[in-house]
Amino acid sequence: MIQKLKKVVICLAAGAAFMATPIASASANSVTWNGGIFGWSLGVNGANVTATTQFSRSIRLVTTVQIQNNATGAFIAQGTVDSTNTIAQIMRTGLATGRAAFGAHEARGDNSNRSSYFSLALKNGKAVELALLSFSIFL
Amino acid sequence: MKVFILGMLSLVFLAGCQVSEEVVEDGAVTQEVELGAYAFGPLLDVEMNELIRFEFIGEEIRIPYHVEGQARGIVSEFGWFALVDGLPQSTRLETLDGSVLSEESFMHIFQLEFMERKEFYVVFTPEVENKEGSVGFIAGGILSPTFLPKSTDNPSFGGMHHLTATIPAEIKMLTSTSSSLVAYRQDNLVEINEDILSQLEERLISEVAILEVLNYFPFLAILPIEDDLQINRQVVLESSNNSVDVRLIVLGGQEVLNRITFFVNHQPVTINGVADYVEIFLNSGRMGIIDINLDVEILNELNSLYAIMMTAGEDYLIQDIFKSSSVLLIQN
Repeated sequence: MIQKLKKVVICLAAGAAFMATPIASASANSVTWNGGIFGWSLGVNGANVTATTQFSRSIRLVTTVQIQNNATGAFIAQGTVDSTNTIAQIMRTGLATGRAAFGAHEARGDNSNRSSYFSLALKNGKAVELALLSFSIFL
Repeated sequence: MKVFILGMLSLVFLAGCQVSEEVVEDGAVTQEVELGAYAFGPLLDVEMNELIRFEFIGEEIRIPYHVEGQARGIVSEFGWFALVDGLPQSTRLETLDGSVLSEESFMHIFQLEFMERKEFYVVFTPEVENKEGSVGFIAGGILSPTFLPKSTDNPSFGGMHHLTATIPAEIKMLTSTSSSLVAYRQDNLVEINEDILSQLEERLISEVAILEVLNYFPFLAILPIEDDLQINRQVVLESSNNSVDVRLIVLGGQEVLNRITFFVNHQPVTINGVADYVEIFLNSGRMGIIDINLDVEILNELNSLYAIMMTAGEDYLIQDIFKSSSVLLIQN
């Protein structure tokens, strides 16, 4: 059963097929956790948003990306990849001005958890309120 | 809900949010905001991916534990909770020298600076149905539990209230337990219809057949009871006479017994005036439509509502934990 699950989630990851896609804008971060290096990024390339999670050894990685209308919260797209590997990436298309993307990056290992969260907004140089959050930002 | 570290989150968050800007190829500007990062887990010397086992011998279980903020330059907020055998547990946190760090509650909220670490004991007596054998223990975290949408104009929680969880541990029950918790059993499953599948395909855009995806990623959604199963819409629910009617749909999943608890403002609520959780045996390719009434006696003007599902019994290694999106619940 677990083997089958692994197969499916790997298919999901492969389905995204963006491993070789250059990311025009990405903010990568890393911290030491659980004896290894945990890294994550949320990047944008045109309308594509890519969430990447890595760990220095194979571990269960759960990575989610979600895009929605910034002003109304209306749903645009989402995706999750859940696999045991050293890297988990997921891409969704639909980011545009006035929309926001959210990334969640999680490692689940030896009963401990490490997670990071990001949001990403797109706007043509004007002040915008990222209404989903409890504060305003200016672009 | 006991607030572990008091603070005005929104002010701290505003002051401390970490922002980066970059111009992308079409000339637009992206702005990235880090919402939080944290780690949590037991302080145990175990091998990677080793199944952790605890024993319940009739006395409180005490698990040495840690939490740590890991976002540079900001305060990360998350709510920590534990489920045993699919049911939320009331836990107490004690410092390593034995004083109470946080009173008994279903959720303990942490607000942590970068590399701020706290070590303590998680103390609890498992509240599960009378049984001996092994049951699953899962610890979870909810990102920014104090976040609420500002109004019904934009009721989305965005990336907030996202669920993270540990892989399951095992509690070996060496003595039977008693529990006053009552189940609401849902046995009626129907075939997932084409309309729902179309909506999911639009939402998930998977190259794997959506029914196959649902086998391993069961989907939960809270809807208005009169809703015609539109799962991609924004939901605002309104209470009436200290209660609210809701429709929960559960799609797909492994063929295992699951328990679902509803949380209003992160506290479990009663179902139909008598039950504490929904019990449902999932089935591949089928869905449960659960129309119930929740008791919501103490409400603010704006409130959060979500459901968490965990596998019961000894099947927690097959399918572990899932959460619906949070929805906005307003007081009439």
